[in-house]
Amino acid sequence: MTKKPRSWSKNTFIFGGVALWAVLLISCTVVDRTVVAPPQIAGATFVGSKECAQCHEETVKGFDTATHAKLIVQGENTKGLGCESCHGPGSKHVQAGGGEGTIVNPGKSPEACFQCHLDKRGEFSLPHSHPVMAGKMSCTECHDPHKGNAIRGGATQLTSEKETCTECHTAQKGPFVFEHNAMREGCTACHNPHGSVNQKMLVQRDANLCLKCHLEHPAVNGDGTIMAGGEDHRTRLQNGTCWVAGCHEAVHGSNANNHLRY
Amino acid sequence: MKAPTSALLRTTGLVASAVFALSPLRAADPAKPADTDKDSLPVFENSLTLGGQSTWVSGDADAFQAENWTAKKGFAGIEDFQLSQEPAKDVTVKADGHLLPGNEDYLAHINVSKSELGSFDGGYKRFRTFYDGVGGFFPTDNAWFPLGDQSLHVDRSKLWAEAILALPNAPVMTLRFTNEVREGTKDTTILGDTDFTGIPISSSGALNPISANRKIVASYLGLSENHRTLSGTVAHTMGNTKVELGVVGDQIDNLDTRYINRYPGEVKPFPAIAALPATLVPPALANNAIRGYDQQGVKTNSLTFTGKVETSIGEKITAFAGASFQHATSDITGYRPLLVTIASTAYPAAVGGQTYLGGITAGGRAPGTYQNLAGGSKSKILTGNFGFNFKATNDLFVEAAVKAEQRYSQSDDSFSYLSNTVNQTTGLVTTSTALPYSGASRIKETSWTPELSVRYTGIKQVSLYGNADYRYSPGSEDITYVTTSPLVINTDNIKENHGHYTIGANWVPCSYFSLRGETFYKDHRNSFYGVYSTAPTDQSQYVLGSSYYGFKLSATLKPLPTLSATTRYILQVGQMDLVTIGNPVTGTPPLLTRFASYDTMDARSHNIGETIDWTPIKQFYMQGNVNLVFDTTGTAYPKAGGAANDVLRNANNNHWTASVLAGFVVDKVTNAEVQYTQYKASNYQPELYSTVPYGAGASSYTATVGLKRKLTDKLLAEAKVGYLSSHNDTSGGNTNYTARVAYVSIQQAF
Repeated sequence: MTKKPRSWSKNTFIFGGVALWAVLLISCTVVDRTVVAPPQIAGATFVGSKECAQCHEETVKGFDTATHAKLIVQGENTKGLGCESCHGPGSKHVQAGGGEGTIVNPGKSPEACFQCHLDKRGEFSLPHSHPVMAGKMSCTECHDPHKGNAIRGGATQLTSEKETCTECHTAQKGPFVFEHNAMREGCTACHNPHGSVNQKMLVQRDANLCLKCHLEHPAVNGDGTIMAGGEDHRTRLQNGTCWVAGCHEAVHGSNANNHLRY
Repeated sequence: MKAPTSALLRTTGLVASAVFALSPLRAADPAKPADTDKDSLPVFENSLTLGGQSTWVSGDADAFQAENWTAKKGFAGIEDFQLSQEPAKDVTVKADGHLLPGNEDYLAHINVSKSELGSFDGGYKRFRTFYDGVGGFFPTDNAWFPLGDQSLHVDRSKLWAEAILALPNAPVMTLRFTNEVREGTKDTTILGDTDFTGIPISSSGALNPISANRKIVASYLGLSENHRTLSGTVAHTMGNTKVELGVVGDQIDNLDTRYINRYPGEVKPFPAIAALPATLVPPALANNAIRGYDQQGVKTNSLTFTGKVETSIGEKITAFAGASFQHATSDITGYRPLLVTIASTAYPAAVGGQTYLGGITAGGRAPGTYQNLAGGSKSKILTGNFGFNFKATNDLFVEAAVKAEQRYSQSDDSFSYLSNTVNQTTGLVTTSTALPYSGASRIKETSWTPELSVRYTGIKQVSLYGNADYRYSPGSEDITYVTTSPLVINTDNIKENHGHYTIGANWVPCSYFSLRGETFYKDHRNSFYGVYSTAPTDQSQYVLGSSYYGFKLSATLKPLPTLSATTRYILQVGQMDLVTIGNPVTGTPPLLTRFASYDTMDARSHNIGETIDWTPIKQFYMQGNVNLVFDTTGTAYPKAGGAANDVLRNANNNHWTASVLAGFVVDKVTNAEVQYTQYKASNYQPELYSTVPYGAGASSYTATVGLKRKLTDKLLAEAKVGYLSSHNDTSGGNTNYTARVAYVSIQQAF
C-alpha cells in the first residue's frame, strides 16, 4: 500500500524563502562581521609545508611516499599545495603553537577530502553508505593520506586490501571450507565501500552482480538460456537474485556447502 | 508519532523570521572595523556542549532511522566534550567525548602525553546503526512482506587502551589492546520466497508458463561478534636506520544467526498440484511454509609477527624491507534447524498440515537442515617486501618495490544432514535418520608483486607521475566433499595475473586555474584448471578476465578571490570475459558444450561532479555541490535471447545528488545557516512481471535552517529545524516518510 507523505505547501517555501533572503539582505548591509564556510579557519593564511615540518617532522618526511605527494607542483602558483591543501591555511595553528580548532582536521570531518574527491561526497550521500556523513566514521579509518598508498593494503604493502574491510567485518574474513573466489579479487568486486543506491552498498543489486563472472557461453547464441556453473539458470532467476533463500546464500564463503548454498 | 500540522510550522517560521528580521537592526555597528580573525564566532578548545533533537515522523519511521542514522524518537545529552590542558610542564591532557542516549552514541576518550616519556591513549566508543526490516516488493499485486518488527539496529562498540613509552635515545615501545563488539539485528537481502505474487500458480488445468514463486520475503540477521587484539611494537632509530618489530594477537568470537522465513502462510493443498511443465515450475510440495534459522559460530585465534627496517643510504636513497608471518586457527560450529509444514491426507491443509524438522526431498531443492556442524581451519601467511625510494634530483622521485607472499590454509567440516521424504500420492512423510557429511579444502597460493612509482616535477607548473604493479600468483585448491554418494575431489590449479597501471599529470598554469588528469588501466586474468575425481572426463579449464580502464579529470577555477569552482569527471569502462577451454589433456569438451570466449560483462559509468564555493562578501558564503552518475552494467541481456530476456535486464545505477549550504551573519553575535540536499535515482523497472523488478527508484530531500548565537564570550547556542522527505518506488512507497526535526544545543567554554 502506498502511503502518501505529508509535505509543506508552496506557500511555506515561498514565505520561508522570501523571509530568509530578506534577512540576508538586511544583515549584509548593516552587519560587518565574518562568517566562514566549514572547514575553514577564520583569519588563517598559508604558511607553506616547511613550517609544518618544524613540529610534524616525521609526517612531512614520509609524505614523499604518499599517494597525495603526486599533487605537489613546483612554482609560485602552488603556495598552499602540500599540507595546507587538506589542513587549510596554517598561520593560526603556527601562532598558537598547535592545538585543536586552529587547523582543519580531516580525521574529524570529511569536508577537506570532499574538496577534491567530489564523487565521494556524492557516494557518501546515498542511502546505503558507511556513516561518514553522520560523523560515526572518518576517511582516515580506511585511508592513510600521509605515507604510502592512500588505499590501505594491496600492491607491495605487507597487508592485503581485503584486510582493511575485515578489520571490522570479521565474519567475512574466513578462511572458509568452501571459498568464494571473488573474495580474492577483494570486497570491491561486489561492494562500493563509499556508498551505493543499492542495499549493502552493492555495485549491482540484481543477478548481474554474479553473472558478470559466472556467465558462460550458451550452447547456441541467443537460445534463451542463462548458463552458469554448467546449468541453465533462467527459471531460477525468475525468482529473484542469486543469493536469496534456497540458492547461494553464503556469498562470502561457506563452511557447509560447496555451492555456497548456506 | 503524529506530525505537527503545517500551520504550526508556519507559525514557527513566522516567529523565527521575526527574530531574524529584528536581530540585525540591533546588531548593526558600522563604526567598528571588521576583523576577520576576531569577529567570527569563537571556536573553543575546552568546552561542553549539551544538545538534543526531537523528531516527528509521518510514514515509515524505521526507514527514516536507517537512512538518516538517527533515532526516530530523538536524542538528548552531552553532544560534545573537549578538554585540552597542560597541567604540568611538558604534560598534555586531552579528552573528548559525547553521551547521547536515544541515538545510543557514546564516546569517552582521553590522551595523556609527556615529552620524552610517552603517552597513554584510551577510550570507549559505541554507536548504533539502524536498519529497517523490509524485503522486496512485487508490484503486480502490491505484494509486500516486511518483518513484524521493522525496527532493527546493531550496536558497534570499541574499547581501547594504548601506552607508548618513548624515552630519549631508547626504543619506542607501544602496547595496545582493543575490544570491538557488534551486537544486534540487521536486515539482509537474502530474501525468502512467496507464491502470493498475483500470478496464478501452475495447475494441471491451467498451465502458467511463469512461476509464481518470487523471493521478496523479508529476513534478518542476528549478530553477536567480538574481536579482541593485543599488540606490541618496538621501534628504534639508530643513525639512519629505523627498525620496528611487532606482534599482534588477535581473537575473533562470532556467533551469527540468519533467520529464514520462506513461503509464510502457505500450506499447499493435497494431492500436490502437478508440476508442469517441469522445467518451468518447481513442484508445489517444495513451496510450503519453512521457518528456522542458520546459526554459525567461528572462534579464531591468530598471531602475527612483523618486522620492518628502513635505512637512508646517503641523502638520495632510502631502502626498506619488511616481513610478516601470521598463523591462525579457527573452530567452527553450526546448526540450521528448519521446520517445514506440509499437508497430507492425514493432516490436510484445513487443519494446518503437519510440521517436520528437516527438509523434504520431493520437489525442488531440499531446504537444507543440518546439525552438529563442527570443524576448523589452520592458515599460515608469510609475506615479505623490500624496495627503495630514490630521490634522484629535487624533481625526480622513484620508488621500486617487490612483495612476495605465500598463503596456505586448510579447513574441514562435518555435520549431519536431515532430509525427509514425502510420498507424493499420500503426502505422508517418512522422517530420515541423520546422514553424515563432510568437506575439506586445502588452498595454496604464492604470489609475486613488483611495483614501480615515478614522480617528476621538473617542468614548470607541471607534475607528472605514474604507477604500475603486477601480481602474479600461481596456486591450487583441493576441495573434498563426502556425501552418501562417492567421495568427490575437485582440484583446481589457479593462476592469477593482476596488473594495475596509472599515469597522471597536474598542471597549475596560474594561481586561479589548475587541471589534473589521470588515466588508469586494470587487467586481471584468473585461470582455473579443474579436475573431478569422480568424473575425470569433466576436466575443464577456464579463464576469467576483467579489464577496467578510464580516466579522471579535475579542474579548479578561481576567477575571483571570492569564487572557486571545481569540476571532476570520471569515466570507467569495464569488460569481462570467460573462456572455457574444455579438457586441455584429451581435447574433449566438458559435459556441456561450451568452448568459446564469452563476454560476460560490459559496464560503463560516468561520474560528473561540481562544487562551487562563493563568498561574495565576508558576511555570506555559499557552497553548492552536485554529482551526476550514469552507470550501467550488462551481462546476458539482451544477447541471451528468447524467454531469458524476460527475466533479466541491465543493472542501472543512474542517480544524482545535490546539496547547497549557505551561511550568513544575522547580527554581531548570530550566524545563520541554511542547507538543502537532494537525491534521486530513477532506474526502477516494475514492468518485469516474469521476475522481480529491476533497478532502484527513490528520491529524497532535506532542508534545514539553523541559528548559532554567541550568548556570552563563553557560551554559544544553536538551534536548527529541518524537514526531510523520502519517497521510494522500489518498496512500492511502503517506506516513504516525511519528518520534521528540531535541534537545540548550548556550548559552554571553560
